[in-house]
Amino acid sequence: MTQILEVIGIVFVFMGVAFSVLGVIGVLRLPDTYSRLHASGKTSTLGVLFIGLGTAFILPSALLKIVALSIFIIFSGPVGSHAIAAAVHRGTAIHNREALEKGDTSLTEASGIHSKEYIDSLMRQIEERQQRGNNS
Amino acid sequence: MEWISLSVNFALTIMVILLPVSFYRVIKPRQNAAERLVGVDLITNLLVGIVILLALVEQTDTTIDIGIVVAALSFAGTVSIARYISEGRVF
Repeated sequence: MTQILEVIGIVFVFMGVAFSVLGVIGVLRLPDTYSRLHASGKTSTLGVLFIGLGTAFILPSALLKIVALSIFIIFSGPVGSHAIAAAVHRGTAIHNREALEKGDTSLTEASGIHSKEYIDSLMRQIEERQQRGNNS
Repeated sequence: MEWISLSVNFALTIMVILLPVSFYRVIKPRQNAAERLVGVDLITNLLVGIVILLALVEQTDTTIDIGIVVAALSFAGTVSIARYISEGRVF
């Protein structure tokens, strides 16, 4: 019986390792930042969850701690990915505006931001948000 | 029980090899800060997986506490650096 549980656990561990390998290959090879973020998000939730599930099959005394870790990973992974996506969308405009004004788009073309008017509208939004934050 | 420790060590070796490969995404020149943040987030998630696998090597469940702490710290770090990049301030 324990033999069967151990085989199932090893299979789940290797499924998690396979998800991690695929995520790292995706982060290295995909063309732009949003696609890379997609690959990284799958790795962060599914890779860790499958490795934890396999560990719970092999080591049953660790089941409660793994359930706690899994609940935390399920909630924190998408929140972190969404925060990074917002940073890609707005942050490239702030930090690379000088290069863009010189006509150098090599740093921002990965995030799909090209036109100067769009960057100016993003900067206005950010300034309004900062003023609102200072007043409240 | 020989094959279990053998395959756990094999999985652990693959995960450790993945760490410097994804660190290349962080130190690669000519890219902006948010792209480097994607690489750092990936490294911390791989690190949580490695710490859970270490619990199988040591055959104890105390190691998983370390994994919970690493996950919490990496979440706080990722969100605060992402807010610093996108809005220019953390709080």
